[in-house]
Amino acid sequence: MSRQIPRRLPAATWFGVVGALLLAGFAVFAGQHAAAARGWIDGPSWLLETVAALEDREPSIWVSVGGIAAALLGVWFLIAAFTPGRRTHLPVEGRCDLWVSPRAVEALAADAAERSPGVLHGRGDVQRRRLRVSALLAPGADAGVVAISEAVGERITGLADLELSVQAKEGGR
Amino acid sequence: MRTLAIDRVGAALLGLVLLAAGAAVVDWRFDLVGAWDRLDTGLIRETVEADWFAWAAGGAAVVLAVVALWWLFARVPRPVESGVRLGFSGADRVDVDVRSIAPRLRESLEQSAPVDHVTSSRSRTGTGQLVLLRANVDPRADGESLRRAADDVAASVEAAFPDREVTVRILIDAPRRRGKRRTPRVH
Repeated sequence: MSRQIPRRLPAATWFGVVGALLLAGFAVFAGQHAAAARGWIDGPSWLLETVAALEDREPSIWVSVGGIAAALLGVWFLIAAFTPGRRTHLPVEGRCDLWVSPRAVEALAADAAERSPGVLHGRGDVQRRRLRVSALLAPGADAGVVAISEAVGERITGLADLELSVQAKEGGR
Repeated sequence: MRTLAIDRVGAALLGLVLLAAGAAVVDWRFDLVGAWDRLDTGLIRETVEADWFAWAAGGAAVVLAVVALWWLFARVPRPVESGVRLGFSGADRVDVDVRSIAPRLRESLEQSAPVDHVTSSRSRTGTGQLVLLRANVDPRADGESLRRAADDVAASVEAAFPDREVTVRILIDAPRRRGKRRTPRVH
């Protein structure tokens, strides 16, 4: 069974909204010229004023700032156009179409670590295919990394195929 | 909000237009390649002031406005029809209201899995509809119990819809009140 990966909306979706608003802005610009040229509205055509400004030797400071902003926005649009939406969940092997978010795996791992004897506080961190668990041990507690590792491994068995690493630090008295 | 295929193409085209416009202004300001000196502003003014250009601008405004509105509103999610048709023989025909199935699946998952706050949504697939169940995990849960519960839900849907008119997908998210516990546990 081919499964479509759950993803966030790609950035291009939001830029599509901005693009639609920009097109609407161009439409207003063109429409204002048509209306002003036909005498349907009072006031000068914005397009003619823009063309008149082109005859200046140098652009005004605001036009320069606008031009640089347009170039930067253009680069941002191009990056967004080719960036895929980020994966939100990890696949779970099995018969059903089950997906689990990295934050959920982190929560389970942190809880499993905290329930190990001698652990004061646990934290999980999923980065790509690796789960890193940090544990704060009670001072003088007879707690080991192996026990924490086993507890976390047992808890997430069958859920996510992640490389597990545990770091334990003894808390101060 | 839906993702449209045109979004990527449109964003790329607008990006190129904005980049070109910005580069033209920078060249105008700093005279990097001298394109501005070669620009015949008289010809541009003559064209813009021509009688036909006002009508062309009006036409362009209408087309741009229609495209902008379509681009803006085409992404609004369309409602998914409530029923799917089951395989039938002869004159018999059975339609199933999937809206009535989703609450049962939510309830089933909430009861059998260590999760809470189960929500559901529906989308069309090639063969019928997909019911998407989304839930927040209980931090005390373990992988095996989650998988077993999800398997049970999937098996019940498969048994009811062997031709895959309705399928189910389950997404497990982080606990809702993650990080609220400030006091470290002491054993």
